[in-house]
Amino acid sequence: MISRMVRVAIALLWLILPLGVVLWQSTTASFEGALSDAFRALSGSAWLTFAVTLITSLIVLFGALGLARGKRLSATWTSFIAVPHVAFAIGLLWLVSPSGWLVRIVDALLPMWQGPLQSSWLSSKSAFTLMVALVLKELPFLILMAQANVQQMPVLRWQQQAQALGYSRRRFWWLIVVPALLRRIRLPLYIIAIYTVSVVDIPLLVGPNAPALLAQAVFELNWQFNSNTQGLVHWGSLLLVLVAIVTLVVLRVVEWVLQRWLSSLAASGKRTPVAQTTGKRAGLPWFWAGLAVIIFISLLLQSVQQSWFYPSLWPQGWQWSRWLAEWPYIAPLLYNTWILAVLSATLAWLSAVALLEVQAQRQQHQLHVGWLAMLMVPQLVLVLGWQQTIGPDSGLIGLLWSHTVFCFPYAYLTLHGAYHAYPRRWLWQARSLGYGPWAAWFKILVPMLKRPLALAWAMAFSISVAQYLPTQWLAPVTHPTLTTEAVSIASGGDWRLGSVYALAQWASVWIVFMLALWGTRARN
Amino acid sequence: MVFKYHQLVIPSLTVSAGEVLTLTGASGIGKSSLLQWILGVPQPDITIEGQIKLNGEDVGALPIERRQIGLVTQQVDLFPHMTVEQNLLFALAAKQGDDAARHDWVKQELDSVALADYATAYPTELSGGQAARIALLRSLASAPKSILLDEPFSALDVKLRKTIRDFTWTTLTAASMPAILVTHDVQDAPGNIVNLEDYYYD
Repeated sequence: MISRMVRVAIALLWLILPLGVVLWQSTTASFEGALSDAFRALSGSAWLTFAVTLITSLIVLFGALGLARGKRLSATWTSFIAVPHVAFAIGLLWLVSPSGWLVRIVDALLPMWQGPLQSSWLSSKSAFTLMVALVLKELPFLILMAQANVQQMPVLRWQQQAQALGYSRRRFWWLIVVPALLRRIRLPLYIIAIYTVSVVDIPLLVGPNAPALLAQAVFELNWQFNSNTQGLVHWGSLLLVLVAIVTLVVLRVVEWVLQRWLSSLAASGKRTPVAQTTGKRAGLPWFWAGLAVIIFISLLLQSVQQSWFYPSLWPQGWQWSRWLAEWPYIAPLLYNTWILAVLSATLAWLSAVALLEVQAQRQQHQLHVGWLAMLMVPQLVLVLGWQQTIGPDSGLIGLLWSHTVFCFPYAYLTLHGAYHAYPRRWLWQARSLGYGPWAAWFKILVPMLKRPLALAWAMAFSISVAQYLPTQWLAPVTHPTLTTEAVSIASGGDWRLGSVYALAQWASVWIVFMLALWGTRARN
Repeated sequence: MVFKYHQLVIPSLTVSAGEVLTLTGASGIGKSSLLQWILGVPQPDITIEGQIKLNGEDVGALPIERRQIGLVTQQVDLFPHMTVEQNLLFALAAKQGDDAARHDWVKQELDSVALADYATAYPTELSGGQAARIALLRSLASAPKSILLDEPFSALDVKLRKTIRDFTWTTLTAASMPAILVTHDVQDAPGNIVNLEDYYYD
């Protein structure tokens, strides 16, 4: 009874209250008109958001289904996934922009090249660039999720059976494994889709401006403090929910159609012999490693270059003093970022561990989607609701609350598999030897699960570091962070200075992940 | 014990010092659940009513750590992040005695089973037979009043199984330890056998 009341209270605070506030404000706002007017004003943005989200989600889905077959991405790759989106986007932009590094390499290799590119679809701010950034960032996440699920299936036994029946490995994968996998990766796919619907910082950096994505448009409208635009903000945020729901419905239909099609192919009994592939190249760990390294180097060079004219491959002039000159500005941001991230990651981690322990004691091993609900609602709507409830500059407590809410599901997701796979009999053994439940937990479970526990904390830390919207809307004056400043500077067009902040942001996350991996390496 | 699809009504069972009571029966009938209930592990999906008395004292309401019942399982369950010596010291830690005395005790015990050279080895470096010996020593190190054996020989090959079985019965007899064994194989049973299928109701 008490646990149910606690759950209801948490749901009220997390979801129902902010959503209710936004809904209430929408219906009582002085904006003349209603959803139809808002849709007219924001229809271009809404359609663009729907298209970008759907295309990104489908590319990520099919990419993950194809690449999950291969070599498993190791735990180290979680550190790549945790690279802050903002740092990733700033680095990637320099890489793929019309006069960027990739084009310069092509220029150097092909003398007849008439670069730089003049194409608008590959411009530094376009829907295409945005989708490239999102696909490259989200694809490894879904590959990891897919591979974690594949590990739980008796794929090798199935494969032996299918091959004995004359099916190639590739056909076996698509006809047998993929239908089973689709349902299992539905949740992470929906998380990616909702994130894409609601993301603000990446479109500010690399997205189109006219029309802007819906979340970006609502975000910018919310800075115009007049009653007319406030009404539009509320209806716009509800439109965002509508776009999210429609996207999820379409993704569900795509899954259903794919399932039916693969089932009919399987029922046809056709065996199309293809060359045997080892599958070792799939998963492409080298690609992600290379991309991370190139983006990192790109940021580093940008941060210290003084002049770097086309088509030169390397900067012509250096300005090492930029870091020193920026330090007085970066230091307080680093402090704000770390304090907030350490506190919110710790709170989120403790909540996730407590929840997992309670679930393990009750033998509830399934992932509870209800605890991930905050990832299934566009972030902008939730944060707008909190902003309306607690005010636009709520200080550290409000900010801490919002960061913890978004860190918690990632800590829970990261730790869930390892915690529920942990055999509880180890704890019974310790208790049968005379140790109490706390002593058994600290002396036996914690040392054995130290790496997943540490990675879950590091993941929560990285989520907090990457938060843009909650920080910008709940405490923009009192608690600016590396992320808010990096976006402000880079979206203003100063990529060199933006790279300095992006690197400081990346380094913060990277240091924590490396410490987590190094500090929990196995002795035996 | 009321399960989802069946129930077991078991009469009073008594195990004397140095005696081994063997519980057997088909898979899924509830042997391990019964053992876990005796140990004190909550069984959320099963309704169990009954009493557990150790030397006449009702321990049914006590938590696991205060029941003084040891456990040896098929998986051996030596803590993988601890060396052999640390595993034994962990079991001894609750007892009185200074560090030197506890280390001496561990050395003696390892000598008695010819495993003194493995004190600093991790469980993954032990053979199945060596790990089984250490697991039994560890359970006894905390001086339990009784011990539960959950299919402790089923992961061993035929030759090793007999060796470890003999070692276990000899050790338990020497310690005058009452024990309950759960097994599928009646050849494992040294004495009194109770087939739970005799107490099965749909």
